[in-house]
Amino acid sequence: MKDAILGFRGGERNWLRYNVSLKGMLYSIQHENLFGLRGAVEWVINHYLLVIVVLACVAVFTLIRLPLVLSEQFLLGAVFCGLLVDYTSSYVLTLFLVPLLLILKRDSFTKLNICYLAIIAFLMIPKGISLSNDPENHANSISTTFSDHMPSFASIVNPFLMLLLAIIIGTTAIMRPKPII
Amino acid sequence: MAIIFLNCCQENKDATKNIDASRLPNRSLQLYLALYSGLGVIAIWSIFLISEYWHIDSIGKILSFYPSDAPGSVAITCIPDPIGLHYFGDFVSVVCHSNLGSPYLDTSTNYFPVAYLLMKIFYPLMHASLWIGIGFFYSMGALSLIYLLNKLLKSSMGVFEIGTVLFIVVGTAQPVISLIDRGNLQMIVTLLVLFSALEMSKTSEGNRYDALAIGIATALKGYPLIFAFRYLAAREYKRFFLTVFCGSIYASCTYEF
Repeated sequence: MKDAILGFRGGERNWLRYNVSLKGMLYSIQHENLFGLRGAVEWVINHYLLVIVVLACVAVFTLIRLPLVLSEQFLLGAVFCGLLVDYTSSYVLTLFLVPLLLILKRDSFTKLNICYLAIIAFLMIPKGISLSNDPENHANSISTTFSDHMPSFASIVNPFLMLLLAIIIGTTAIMRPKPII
Repeated sequence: MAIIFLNCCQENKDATKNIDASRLPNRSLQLYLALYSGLGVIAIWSIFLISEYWHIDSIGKILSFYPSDAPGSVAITCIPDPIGLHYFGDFVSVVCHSNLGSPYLDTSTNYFPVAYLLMKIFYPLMHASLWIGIGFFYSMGALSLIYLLNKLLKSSMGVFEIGTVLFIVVGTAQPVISLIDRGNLQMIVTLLVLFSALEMSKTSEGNRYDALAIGIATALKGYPLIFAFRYLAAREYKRFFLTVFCGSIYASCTYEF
């Protein structure tokens, strides 16, 4: 059995199915031409280094300059840990358990905290289901398998949820009157 | 579900404090939710394991990767016999590489040098049996998680609630299932980040173990460095530089071993 499975791996960097980073999302959108965005996404992919540098600067600026509570700092850290690297497997999302537990540590739940918890809960749901309707290569069904090179719901939805978290944290922090650290 | 449960716990705590008899039935609701969620955990794990062993490929892969994926870039003699179908590929890969003379010069490795230094202790255990190696690895992880959860949450929750949080929140999360299936080093990274969060949440100035933990996590995977930028926000420059120093020293000095 060992011999049969050796050599099974390889090229996992191209496995869109398991890649929940920003790059995975962009390649998935390009692959499926979701919402007719292929052209725009191709431009972003061609300038990906620039995008990552800008995103990293935004991350550092947000963490240093904006008034965030501890759970939000860890939440934002986990978001950028997931988004910035080229290939993010789903187990990297275990970092979101840290802000989740920090939120649970508090005695009361604000609406904002419940919003964070809800988005983290959506991140934790399994989403390895095919996105495509092409019946020849991969079927849009739980009961049938599809290629690892094809995008899944995870490769689209998880990065989107992480971006959403970053936007919510950034927006609410900007609207806060004064530092609370 | 977890939020409803914790709200119930909170209400129940308030009810106990105020000796309000009308709220006491919440305990039954708590137990019901705990039981319901516990069955959910068992159901998810059962579906995962059954689908893997019956080769119902798509269901197992919704939750994780191929369980039968052995590390491809290590000597075949190093790979132990699997547990059922499971090779715990990432664990076996790092441990096998850690026993090489110069694992850091091997282009097929994915980790920083300190990963191999840390995981070298598991080699004799894994060499005896994968059961022992992986069991020891997970036992250390589970005990650390229980300890950290207890430290972090004991001020706001009881033992029952903490146990339920551990069971519901950690036990049902797909990333955790995937992490256990792969035996990835991310478990150590997450625990180190959790430890630093625990230290940072303390109000007193205290020690600098949090910066040390983030530094080791950075040396293991690189990207946890981003958590160190909060020190700059809090004007704790010594901690920031301690993290960067630890990250770089651990990642580079282990080349010497």
